Amino acid sequence: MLLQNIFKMLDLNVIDDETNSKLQSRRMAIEKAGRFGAKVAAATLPVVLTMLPRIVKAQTQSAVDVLNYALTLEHLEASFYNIAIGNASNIANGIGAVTLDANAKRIVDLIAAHETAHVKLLRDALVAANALTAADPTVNTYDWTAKGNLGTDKGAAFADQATFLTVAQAFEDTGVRAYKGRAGELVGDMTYLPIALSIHSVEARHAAAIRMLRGQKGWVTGGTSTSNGTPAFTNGVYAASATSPGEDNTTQAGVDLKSLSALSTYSAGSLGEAFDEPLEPTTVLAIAGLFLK
Amino acid sequence: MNQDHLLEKQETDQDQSLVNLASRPISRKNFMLFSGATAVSAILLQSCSKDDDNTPASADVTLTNDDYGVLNYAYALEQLEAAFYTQVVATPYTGITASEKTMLTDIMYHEVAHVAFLKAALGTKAIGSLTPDFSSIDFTSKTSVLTTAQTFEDLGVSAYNGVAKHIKDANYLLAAGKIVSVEARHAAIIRETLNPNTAAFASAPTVATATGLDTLHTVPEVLAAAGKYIKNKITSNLPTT
Repeated sequence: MLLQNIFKMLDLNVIDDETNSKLQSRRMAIEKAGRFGAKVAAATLPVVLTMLPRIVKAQTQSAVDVLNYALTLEHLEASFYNIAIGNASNIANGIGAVTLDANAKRIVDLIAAHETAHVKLLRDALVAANALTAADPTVNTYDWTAKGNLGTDKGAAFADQATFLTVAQAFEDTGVRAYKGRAGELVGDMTYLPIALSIHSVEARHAAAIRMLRGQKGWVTGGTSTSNGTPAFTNGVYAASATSPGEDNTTQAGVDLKSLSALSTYSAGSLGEAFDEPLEPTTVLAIAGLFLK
Repeated sequence: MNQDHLLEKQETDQDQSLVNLASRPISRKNFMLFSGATAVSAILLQSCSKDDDNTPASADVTLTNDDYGVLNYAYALEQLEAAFYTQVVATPYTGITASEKTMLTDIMYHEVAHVAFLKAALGTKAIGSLTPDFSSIDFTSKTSVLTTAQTFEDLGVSAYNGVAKHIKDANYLLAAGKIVSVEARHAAIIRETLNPNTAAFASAPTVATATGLDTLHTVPEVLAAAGKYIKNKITSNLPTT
């Protein structure tokens, strides 16, 4: 059921891209009207006025889609952490909590609380807007073997601390990329963009802490699972996709960082670490899909 | 660059600028220069001369109310961070461990890369190089350095998160997003280093417990906090909310 919702969202994305390009041209028209002289502006004004309600509506639809997408991912994370700390009977499916040492527990406990709060925040916002399409998870929603990649036991992701933290790193680093991948759809959104970004940076804090627990650097090191210390089946978390650069990218907004004199002595690795990369929904949902039944 | 040449150039505002401090590769020669008394005393001397009418003031800068203004706002904050970490790496605090030094050097690389990127992306729209005022920081003290680092990283995250809604171009928004999550990663690791074995990496009040949301700060709030560390007067025409 969740999967159906995800595919429904993918379809919506296609529609949204078209809506967005129309939106851009409308927005440009308004900006031009603002820049030109009063005479031109007066002539354009009626057109602008008739467009305004449509812009508001289009943005709201786009925001709703992004929020449902975010909620789907937050459900996965919240379920994962709540099972881990033994706080999820409705989704645990008989899987017990993972045994964590004190050093990991203090971090996992706080992350679990944050992810639970993210779910509530996003879900409440969508309910209030009468636009909730992301399904609530049940005991049958998730596949904690990652399609067998983690083993055959249904609780494989929670078998031990090391396995659990490896999956946690993959989830957090994916989450950071996922929010970035859709931020562009919220350009100029005064309400939901700040919320999405405030979740995004908290996911990055989580990612850094989990990585540190695993003996990794807090920042993403290179564009492969190997270079980030995770198993090969999570390579998509760090690699380039059809439409997103990999985490080893060193060209930002058309600027080739390696060509800048101030950075001439810098390694490509450092330049790649300095910028996190987005990931589009198709690839994010393919990664998340490993954990869906 | 030899030492005499550098000393000579330090007498101009431009060469004490954050960008120039930050963008100098840490060659062995520069490292020695920075780690000696010279660079530190130059900074301290300049701090003392802040109110001296005979000293030319650092150039005022203005942030325009458009995407260039937002990027310059980011550029100003990144200049501050880059200059700070460059100094931290050049004059490590007492008792620094090898892993702390590696971590702080990594962060320095990231911040200098952010500065260089924003400068290149802005081109002729870029504001000038800012002049730091680090007189309130004790670079020999781990607590002073890491507390300042935490302030800068959290401030940076809250600044990007707060100003992003005013960005009109999706490409610039994405660029800001690519930087802010790295700043958040820095913040978590710095917080962990300052307060190990606690929940400090993402604790309240910076991350609200009830919502799991990071802090947002407006442009005036951020500039008020950053002003203590920057000599230049920064005038903002960006939205105040």
